[in-house]
Amino acid sequence: MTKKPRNELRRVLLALTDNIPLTPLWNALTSQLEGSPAEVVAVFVTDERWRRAARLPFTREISKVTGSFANFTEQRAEQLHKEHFEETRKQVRELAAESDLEVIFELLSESDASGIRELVEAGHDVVIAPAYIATRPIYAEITRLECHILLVETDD
Amino acid sequence: MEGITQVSALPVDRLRKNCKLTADDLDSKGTASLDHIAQKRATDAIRFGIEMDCAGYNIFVLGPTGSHRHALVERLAKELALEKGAPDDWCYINNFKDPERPAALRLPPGKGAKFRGAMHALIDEIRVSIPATFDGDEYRGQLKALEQETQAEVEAQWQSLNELAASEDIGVMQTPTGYVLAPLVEGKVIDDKEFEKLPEERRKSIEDTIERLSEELQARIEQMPRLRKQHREKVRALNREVAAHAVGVALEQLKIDYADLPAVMSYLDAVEKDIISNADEFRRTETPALPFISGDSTALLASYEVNLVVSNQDAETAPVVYEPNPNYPNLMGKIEHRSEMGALLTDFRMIRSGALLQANGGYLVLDIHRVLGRPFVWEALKQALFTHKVRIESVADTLGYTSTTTLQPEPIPLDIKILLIGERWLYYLLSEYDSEFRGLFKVAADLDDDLERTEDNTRACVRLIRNRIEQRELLPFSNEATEIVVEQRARRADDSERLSMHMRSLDDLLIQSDYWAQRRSARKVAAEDVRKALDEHDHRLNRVQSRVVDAIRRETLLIDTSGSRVGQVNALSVIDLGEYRFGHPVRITATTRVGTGQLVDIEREVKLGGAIHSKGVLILSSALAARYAREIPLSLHGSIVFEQSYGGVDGDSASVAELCVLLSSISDIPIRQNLAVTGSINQLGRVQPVGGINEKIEGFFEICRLRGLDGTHGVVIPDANVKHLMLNDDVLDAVRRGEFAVYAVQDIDEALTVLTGETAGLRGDDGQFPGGTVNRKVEDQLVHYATLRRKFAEAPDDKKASE
Repeated sequence: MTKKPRNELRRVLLALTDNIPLTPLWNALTSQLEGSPAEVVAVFVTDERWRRAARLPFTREISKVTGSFANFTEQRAEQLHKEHFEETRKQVRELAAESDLEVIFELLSESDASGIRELVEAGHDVVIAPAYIATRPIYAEITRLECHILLVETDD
Repeated sequence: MEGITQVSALPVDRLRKNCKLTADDLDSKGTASLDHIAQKRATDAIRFGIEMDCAGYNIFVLGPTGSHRHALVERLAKELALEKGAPDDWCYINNFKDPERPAALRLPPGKGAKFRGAMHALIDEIRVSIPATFDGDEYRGQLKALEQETQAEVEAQWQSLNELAASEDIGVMQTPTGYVLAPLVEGKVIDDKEFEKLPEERRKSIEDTIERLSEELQARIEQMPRLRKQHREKVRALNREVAAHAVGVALEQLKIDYADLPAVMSYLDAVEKDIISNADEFRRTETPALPFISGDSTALLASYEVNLVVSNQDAETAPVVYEPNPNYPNLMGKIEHRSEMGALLTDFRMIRSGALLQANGGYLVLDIHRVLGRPFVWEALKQALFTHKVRIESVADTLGYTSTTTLQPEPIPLDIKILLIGERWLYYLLSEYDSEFRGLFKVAADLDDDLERTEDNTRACVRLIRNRIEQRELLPFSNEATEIVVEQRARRADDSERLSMHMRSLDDLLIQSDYWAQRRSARKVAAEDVRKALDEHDHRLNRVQSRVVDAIRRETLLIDTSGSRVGQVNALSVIDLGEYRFGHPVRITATTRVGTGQLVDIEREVKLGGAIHSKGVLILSSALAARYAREIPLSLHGSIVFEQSYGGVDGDSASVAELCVLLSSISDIPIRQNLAVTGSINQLGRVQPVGGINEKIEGFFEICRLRGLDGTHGVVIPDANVKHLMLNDDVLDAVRRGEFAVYAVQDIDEALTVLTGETAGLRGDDGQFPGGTVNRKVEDQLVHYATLRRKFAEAPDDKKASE
């Protein structure tokens, strides 16, 4: 992990996805900032795999607890997205409050090509994202950014 | 033959048996105490009961209050307790198999407290050592290894499934609550449109694969609980192993110390097993979830405490326990409760022993009236004696009224002698009405109220008086003062030839005499102090007497003390106020006329006469008929009444007076009013002794003295009562001066002679009473009544009607 000089930071992008522990990412963010007044934008990138899987007629959700089956519908996928987004936003706000930071929160679909484009064109100094994102299609778009990309291992 | 013409008054030396102590009496240093001499029967019985090692030989000590029964019983029991060693200690301990039934643990005397201390130390040790062991690197390392092992197994399963799915182009995605399998094309989940574009064969293959993998996933999920369970069991086994090591070290010395006590060893094994089986509890935080709730390990550790309910740590002999308040919990023990969040909780630590357990192996002294007066105690005591066990439970449990779960402590074997102390009537009542009583209290120790006034016993009495003076640190008593105290013992016994064993009254007299001596700054208690104590005692209590005397003096209560009256006599009555009793005269009158042999006792007719009084009247009625009307019908109608008596009358001590007044009425011979008479009579005309003789004489004397003694006043008493006379100085002085007289009579003739001043008369060989005698006049009048009655019976009906 390399660090850009603090006084050169203007805008930092924090990429968030489903099922990723926030703490390592946030630690990486605060480490990068170190008191810099740079603008922080948290972007929650929804996992399009759920919506896609939900559109298939045979997809089922298998309970972790009982092993029972339930149809995995589009409504269920939307519900999961919403829950994740709300939970993640809540956690980010709490962390931001603790760190005395102001964070702009945005929601972005992985399949939203224009949104991604706008994001790329906005210009950032640093993008912090979970290492896991490297396996996702959006990573190809991120790599187009002319900035420092910091992938953070989020496994325990 | 005229018979008795005169009855002599008793000489003054027969009116009181004075005490004249000799130098030998005063210097007597014999070892036998008075109560040993006087209570030999009772002490032998108590010793027998205590030494009889057999069920049911408990002891009932019969005797009146104030006889120092408790001191005697306690002293004897303690003497005999020396022959027995201290009994075992008893503890209640947790029953790990059934905590609601705490177990009883017996330990040699003095070891209970030590064992309790040792268990405290053990608890303190394991409270620290077991958590410390769990916090140790060794344990943590072993625990981590187990967790890693389990985690590796779980991950291996997922890894293999993921790999299998990936190899078949299927992605496994996690939701918060489950897993979703979806087909991948070039690593990307395809949607429905892309899926539709696939060849049907491929679509079918994907669906089959997902179905198969789903079932495989389901099978692995179902295995997860088993894996978790296996992990928990491994952790538990590790915890047990660690705890076993820690507790084994802690218990090592205890097991050496108590190796000779199998019951303790068995308990220690149970403790060890319980600690090991609850090892997980020691790993939990001791910080309570709420400030007023103790942590888990605290409650667990408390279960290893020892509740010492009987400790004989400092005892060298068998216990002698007196329980002054033998209510149910004080006697049987109790189970206390503590309030926690509005609920009442208890456990084996809150069991409390009662007097039965405290005296177990020794002697328990109880007052029977207190036992009987407190609910459920008598039945519980009998139950314990029958079963030879003490079962501690609440009264509600005993009666079966408890619906909530409570403790049922293991009963403790009972080896005890009960010494009940009570009044005689309670003993006889229990013997009569409680069928179980005699089987449980086979030994009656009957304390004597008094003893014969022999020289030896008088010396013993003097020793007793001196002992009590020394014990109570009173001023020394002069010889004359001591003599008065001895005389008072006889007065208290109502018998000049006996000495009372009522210790409380003796103590009271000694203490009060000391008080009056101190008041006059004397260094020794003199005779005047004892007399002062007696007078003041009477003065404090004689309010009722003074009211009666005043009423007689003011002639509200009509009592003549001079002249003679036909059909009127002064009888004597005693009023007992407990600590004080006094006598006073009572006027009895009689009227007679021709009749059918009926004698009306007005007291009985109006239900103011008691059974014994009625019996006395019936006896005198029979005596009258047998004496004067053996060959003629008793054609008399007589009535007798206690004048101005508005309360009950009982006893037969007025029957001599009643017969005399009846004969006076029949014969028309007046009775001297300057005399009073007491005594009961039998059918043959013999005069029998009565109680309260001294008070009766002194009561009449007091009235006469108020009105002025003129040498004619006196009292007629049964001859059999002369030995009971212990009259006061005032009476004796008056008799010496010839102002008052006491006449002792053996039969009704002597009584009539004194009361009427005329000769009674005995039947001659011709079967007739001599002419002019009292008896002749009575008989003649009865014959006259019979004649009148016969004439009346023979008269025509019209004449009867006119008459």
